[in-house]
Amino acid sequence: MNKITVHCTVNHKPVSVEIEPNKRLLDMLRVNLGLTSVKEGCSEGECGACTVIYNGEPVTSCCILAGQAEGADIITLEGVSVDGKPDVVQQAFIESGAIQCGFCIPGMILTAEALLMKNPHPTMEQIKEAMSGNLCRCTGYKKIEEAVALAASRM
Amino acid sequence: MSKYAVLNTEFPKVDALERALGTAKYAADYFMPNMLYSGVFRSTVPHAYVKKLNLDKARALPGVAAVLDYTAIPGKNRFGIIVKDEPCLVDDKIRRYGDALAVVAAETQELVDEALELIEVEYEELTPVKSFEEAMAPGAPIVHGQTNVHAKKHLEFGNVDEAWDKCDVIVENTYSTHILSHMFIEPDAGLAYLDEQGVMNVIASTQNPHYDRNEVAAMLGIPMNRVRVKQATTGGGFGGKLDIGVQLHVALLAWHTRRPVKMVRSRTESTMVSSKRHPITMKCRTGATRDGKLVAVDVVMTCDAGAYGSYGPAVIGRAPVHIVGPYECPNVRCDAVFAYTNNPMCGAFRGFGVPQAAVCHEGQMNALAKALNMDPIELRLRNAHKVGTVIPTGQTLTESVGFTDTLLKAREKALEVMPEAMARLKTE
Amino acid sequence: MRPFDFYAPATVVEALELMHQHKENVAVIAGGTDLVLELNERKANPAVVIDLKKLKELDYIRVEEGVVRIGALTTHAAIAADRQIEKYVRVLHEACRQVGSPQIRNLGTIGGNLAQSSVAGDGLAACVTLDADVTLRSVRGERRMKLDEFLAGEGATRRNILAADELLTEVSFALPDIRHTATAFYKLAKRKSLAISVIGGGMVATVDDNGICTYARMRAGALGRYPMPFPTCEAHLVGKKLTYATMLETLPIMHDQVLEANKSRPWSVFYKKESVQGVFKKVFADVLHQLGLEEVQE
Repeated sequence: MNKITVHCTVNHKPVSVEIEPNKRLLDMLRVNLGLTSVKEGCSEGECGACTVIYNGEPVTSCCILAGQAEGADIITLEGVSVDGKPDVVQQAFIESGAIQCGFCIPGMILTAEALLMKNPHPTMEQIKEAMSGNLCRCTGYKKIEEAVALAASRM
Repeated sequence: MSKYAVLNTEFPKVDALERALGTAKYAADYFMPNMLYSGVFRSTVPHAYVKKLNLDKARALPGVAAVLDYTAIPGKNRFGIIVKDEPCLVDDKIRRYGDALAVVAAETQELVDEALELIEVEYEELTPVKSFEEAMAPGAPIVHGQTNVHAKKHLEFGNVDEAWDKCDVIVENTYSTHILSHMFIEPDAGLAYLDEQGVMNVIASTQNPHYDRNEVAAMLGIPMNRVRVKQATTGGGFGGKLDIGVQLHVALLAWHTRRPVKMVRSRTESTMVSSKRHPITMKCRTGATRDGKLVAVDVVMTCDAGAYGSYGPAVIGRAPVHIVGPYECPNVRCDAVFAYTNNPMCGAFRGFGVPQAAVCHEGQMNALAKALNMDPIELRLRNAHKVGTVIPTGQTLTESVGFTDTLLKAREKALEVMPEAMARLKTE
Repeated sequence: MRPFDFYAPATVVEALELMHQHKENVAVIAGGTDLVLELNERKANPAVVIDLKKLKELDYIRVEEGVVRIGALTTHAAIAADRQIEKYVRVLHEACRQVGSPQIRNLGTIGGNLAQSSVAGDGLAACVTLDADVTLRSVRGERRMKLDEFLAGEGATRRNILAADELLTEVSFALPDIRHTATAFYKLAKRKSLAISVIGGGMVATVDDNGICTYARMRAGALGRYPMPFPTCEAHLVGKKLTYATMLETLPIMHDQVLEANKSRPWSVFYKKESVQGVFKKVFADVLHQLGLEEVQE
């Protein structure tokens, strides 16, 4: 097995990573780049915990091989906060009580960020649809939806 | 302004900021220099003796640091929150699908997976016990020790047998709840290492670090002050991370390899071996007067508690005590039996048997309302706990009994948001 | 994951060459929503993985001379967002709109959905309902066929007739004339999102100026190895005035057919023989609504 070098943009910075081809984007981000905010919940695209923003769209990084990320523009939760301070979406999640165990939260916030980048004033229905690929086992979703709406109101 | 400093005021969750920023460290987020990855070789049959376990090929694979079975355990090999009945690694027989037979540590996760595929096992299969009824049948195979009875409880309050004569109406029904997985979003994970003072450190996704410490010390045969357990930020548990998970296995591997060892369960493995909610069957007879006052409740409660005890003895304590719910009843009896089977282990799960009991008492209240042709909410109000109520444990409630107020508020809200459903309540 | 070599060709020609070269043990990857999981669980163990995602030439939705052509690498999200598909091909719009989750729809491609030929594939059920053609390419050339012919596999081991070095490059079908033709799809699943289809029912119906049905095609996914056809139901409708009442007359036929085909699976058939009727009631109501023939009140 020959190693490959993946060149992409991660959190607004160009990176190149030498990696075995049998690694997922999820592994590359967590292990090679130390971006452990990206969580592995189910390993099969069913829970959304490993969601990253990939060329502007939310995707599950457990379903992508590292090599496929060549040339991609990737944003993880580490690339959202500004100088260690929460951005408007993160702040809304904190204030709305949307965070309990927190394991789903990186994926939730990134999905919300991707929605608000495209549609800064979504309806509640659009919020629910956009967030429907992220499972939370603690909150029951209501406060998460409220958090996204709160963030949108401050956009 | 609130007159209290805390009550009626809003606070952000203490560590919400770290969780929102993604800097909170969960167990799988810990990496250490020189760290090994690890995995567990598990049984693919529910009930069997291990005739042969061949670890040689796995041990011979370059990059594999250790392949261990129960003979590598320096201390005890029986664990469990209340009853010590679960092995760290199987030594006598397999009691469920997914029982741990061996552990592997290697330089990479890929090598761990490859080594696990090289382990060979031969089983001498035993007839599995698949239900409560099978467990109690004469001549049934025995899962543990001498009997399949895992726990028994008898609750007696007033005199049920004499009370039936005072009842104008009696309803009898059987309720069964099903086994349920917590499905916490973070699969079990942990990391163990020996520090420079020889202390075994375990960082884990757990709800029970103090208990984990006792178990790790017992397994390694060392004093408790040589074990330190740290709860990593934990991605949900709901009771399912009270039982020991990866902690014993990583500690055993770190003990033998003298290197940090990390283990992260796959979703499949986590779901397979973590505890479950007890599926309980409740055969219930409830009697009341024609004006809707409860007179007697008699319940036979049975449960397939699975292969190991876990929190079963606590659940069997709670479920009978709550069998009439928030309703006054002067005569209550509950006979509960939990059985060992070769099914997944049942344990703690949000409510310790109380939600199962609720299925029974609420079902009976609805059945009673129907039999009496009475508004089911009115029926509940007539029987609601109040200050002065004596509950089936003999305790007199003296304060903070909010059930009637809660029910009235709920009714008010329901009339506002679901008037059609509320109207149907009257006619059904 | 076992080791493998990874290639990301820039053109279809290059990809076909690589596939041919490594055809003994090759896997191609597009959206990855199936393959990466199989690799991760060591269920798929190819020596070579070829990434198709860089083949931008296969990412298109075009309407040419009354034919809709969709490149294999078009994602479910892109199809769901396409205005023309939404307006003219509701069956495909509805199917793609509900696949998996937003994240999965952003990754998963229509070509992958068809080539995987999963029992419960919604894109597949919709395309079969449309009687679509697929284009397959290899170093030996190109062949085109109806999806019905493509799906002549051998069950579990072989999903369809795709050769190891062959690539599904396009799916195409006639653009429905929505003055006379309506298409509809209804997905029955346990949840609104992140749920595999329990039944995915699709229909194409054409009426003449008098509202007489001149063509009907009904298919449902997750009822057999491939989307199940209902020829007797279709024949019942053709030649009759298309009304809800007439359409409901097909439900007992459907019930018996599903029961007969699935009676070896008693644990699901008792549910599915009933629920298939509920699925098609929704489909019928949508078809009649689109054709302006009848508004069905539930």
